[in-house]
Amino acid sequence: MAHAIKYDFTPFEDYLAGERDVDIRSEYVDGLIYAMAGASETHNTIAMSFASAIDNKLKDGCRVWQSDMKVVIRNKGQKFSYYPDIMAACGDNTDDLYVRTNPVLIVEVLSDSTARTDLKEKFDNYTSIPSLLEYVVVSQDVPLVRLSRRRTSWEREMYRADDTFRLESVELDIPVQHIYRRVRKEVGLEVSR
Amino acid sequence: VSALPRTTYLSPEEYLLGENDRADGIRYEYVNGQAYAMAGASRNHNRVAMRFSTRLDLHLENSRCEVFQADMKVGIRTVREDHFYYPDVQVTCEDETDNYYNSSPCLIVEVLSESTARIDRTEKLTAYTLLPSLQEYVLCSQDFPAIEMYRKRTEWRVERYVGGQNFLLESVGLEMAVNDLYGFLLNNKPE
Repeated sequence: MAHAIKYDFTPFEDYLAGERDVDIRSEYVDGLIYAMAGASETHNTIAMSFASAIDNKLKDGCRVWQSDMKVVIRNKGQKFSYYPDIMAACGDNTDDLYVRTNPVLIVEVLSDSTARTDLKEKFDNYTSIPSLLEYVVVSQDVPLVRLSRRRTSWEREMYRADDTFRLESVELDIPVQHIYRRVRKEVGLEVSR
Repeated sequence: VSALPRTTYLSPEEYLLGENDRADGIRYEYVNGQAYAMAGASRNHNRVAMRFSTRLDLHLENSRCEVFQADMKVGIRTVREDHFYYPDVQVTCEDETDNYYNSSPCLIVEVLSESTARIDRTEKLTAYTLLPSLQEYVLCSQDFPAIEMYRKRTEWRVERYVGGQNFLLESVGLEMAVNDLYGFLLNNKPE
């Protein structure tokens, strides 16, 4: 996806007001606005399977959303707004009903065009959210989950096809294969012919 | 260019070993275990980079500072971060020890492309500003006369300059006109 090179600084409040009812969703990165790419069927299927597993296990008072809910971050004097593929938060929303500022868990499913941003820019900003406990990055071409937790100073853990991992933020143990169970051929868990 | 990261972790040493004098000629940048293939660049991109480095080179001719273009890496190595990039232009005034990357540039310039603008403004800004030596980071449009300047002295707050304005490179003591970089856009008149 091409990102327009805009030089016009947009105030954060203008972005938030404009973003409430739009056809194309955009992310906000320190004054600049970037339109979001669409995603593949595999990407959406993986996100759906993962989000469902989280929702099934989620305790009362917590909620999980998929990619239409923004998270707003203030990091080192800069402001950011993203639409994570999956986000879970607990307790009331004390802010604007269109944004969350206190997620406990964020998951991104990697795409070609966004992988680098997910692994670095978003990693840096998500892990600056005081409430966040875990950040998970899921590959969509092979069964691979990268997980970082606040408890271990965000050190990266890697899980592959035969592993099971624990999400402490939502008290869920989940086999990697469960996340990919509807796209087994696409990620090489079954040979297609 | 596909930015899909390898699914295995690559150590900085493995990356450097594979990167130096690669037979296939493809350059990769490196960010904390992942290598990303680099895109080629447009004619205007090269024009801006060439003008910028030419002016710097002329200005620094009899100094201990050296100008490098996009084939030289800069390495950013801290306890938690390992990055290797190929800046479009960089100046270093220190005795650099590694043959394949600089560790102490005082000035870095990137020319923005559609596919890299976001990386230049966020990921690379964050990484470059970890360099104790860096005083200024400059981003140049390739489509119209406009630059963004980030200085350590002002805590990396962005300053914007457009055609008709001058800006000062404090790192090397050189004042430049924005239009000096964009003569090719100005009705093809000689600069």
